[in-house]
Amino acid sequence: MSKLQIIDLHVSVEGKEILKGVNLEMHTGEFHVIMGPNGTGKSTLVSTLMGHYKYEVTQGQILLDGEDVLQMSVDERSRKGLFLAMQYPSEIEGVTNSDFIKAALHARSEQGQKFSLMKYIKNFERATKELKMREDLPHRYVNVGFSGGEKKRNEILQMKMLQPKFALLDEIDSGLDVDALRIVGENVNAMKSEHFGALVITHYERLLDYLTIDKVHILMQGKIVTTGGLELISKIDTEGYDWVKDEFGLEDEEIETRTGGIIGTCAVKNALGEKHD
Amino acid sequence: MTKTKVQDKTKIRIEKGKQDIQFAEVMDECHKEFELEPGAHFTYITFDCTMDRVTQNSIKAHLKQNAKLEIYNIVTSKASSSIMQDIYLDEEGAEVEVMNLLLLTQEASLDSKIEIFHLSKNTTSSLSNYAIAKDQASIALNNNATIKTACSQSIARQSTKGLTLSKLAKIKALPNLYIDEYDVIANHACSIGSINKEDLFYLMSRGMTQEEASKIIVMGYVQPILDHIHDQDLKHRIEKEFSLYLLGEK
Repeated sequence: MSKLQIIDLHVSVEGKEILKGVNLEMHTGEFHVIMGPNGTGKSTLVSTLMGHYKYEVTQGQILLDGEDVLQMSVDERSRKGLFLAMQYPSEIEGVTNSDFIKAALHARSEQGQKFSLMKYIKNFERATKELKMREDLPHRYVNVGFSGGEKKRNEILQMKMLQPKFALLDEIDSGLDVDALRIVGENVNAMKSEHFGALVITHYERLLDYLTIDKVHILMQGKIVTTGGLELISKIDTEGYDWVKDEFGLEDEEIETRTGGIIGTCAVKNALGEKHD
Repeated sequence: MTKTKVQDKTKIRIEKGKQDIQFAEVMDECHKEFELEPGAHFTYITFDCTMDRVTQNSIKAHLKQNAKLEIYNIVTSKASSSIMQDIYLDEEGAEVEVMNLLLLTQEASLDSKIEIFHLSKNTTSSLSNYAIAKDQASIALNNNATIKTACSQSIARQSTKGLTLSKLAKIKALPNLYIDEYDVIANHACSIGSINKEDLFYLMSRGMTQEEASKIIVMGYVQPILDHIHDQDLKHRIEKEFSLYLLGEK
């Protein structure tokens, strides 16, 4: 069993503090959900766990089985067992899905370890089938020309192939139709074991119908303000987040307003044939 | 269709309606003259992988009615080299497609000057550059297409994609279209930049080191050109050369 600990995590982006002391602990075999209004730092949290270059950790610790994750490069974090299923996965022109996943598996195999191509093909075919993806998937370039739903399913396919310890699922349900949502949910849930846990970010209850959730955390204003069980999800679904503010004494944050010029006004005016008196 | 390895011939004539593919390894100076008779189809692939010698790849080609010429110039080098190619679309329906796949490392420099002259109506040209500069290498791409008067319904297309893999690497593109006729299609596009950081993060988040991830992205970038090469041995050789140069093992 593995353990992931986030201790008093403070994170800034371009000098603005987004996370203001997040604490969270989870083990493999557990599914945790993070919910919260837009712009409260949910994606910042999982991107920081994976080591995205935009996010600067100003305080706190992230430990994976006691090892300091913040000292690891992005690829090391992946090889140690973290996996981020992204909200907007990149499109990699000229690289087939098959070659991409093969390269990722090679990267995590130990030196001298033999790579079984037959086993790889079998696993790939099985994962493709289970996610009901197109048969030509191995030969398609990574995410190029994929629909939003296909991209999300491709993230789950990579996760199934790479077998991480902890998956960080960043709004994996957005862009999925009802059937695709069920397929993704069931596939993620089937992975739950003593070797696998997931931290799920979502806005919708529907995905959670397919996942066996252990804990629900509400992240607001850069902090986890409360943790509970499935009852929290139902309450949010019916009442929104205002009760959280009242109950935990959170004040409305000031919204930063930006001033700037408008580009292209002249062109628009001319195109519309604006009259000058 | 025949396939021959060009070594010392300097003049090649493709007879009326015939097809041919030729491959040349550019060593030192390589000067070729092509004449394509009506309806001929000729594919010419050059591969310059010299390590330390200055090379020159020069071509002059004349195309007659409905003749088609395809040229693939592939360079992996850490020395200086040049590509000088003049193509004349002399008669109606003539068509040329030129693709350059260039990878320069260390202090190498490459000058490419490709001139295409549309001298008859309904002629077509397409010129694509895929250029990669590493270390302190520099690449200059001078592309000229001229459509003369009375050459209506001609099409001239140019595109350049440049990838710089270090702060000191340079790629300069000069795409020029000289158009003397109204009823034509002529366009050029150019983009030069470094590897997208988001793409790099994506690959690294799957466990690949920065070096491996960069190599995969660059190999993906050159794949559209390699897809045009049907000779599997040559294709594998080019891929291997690119891989070695990208990892700094050559």
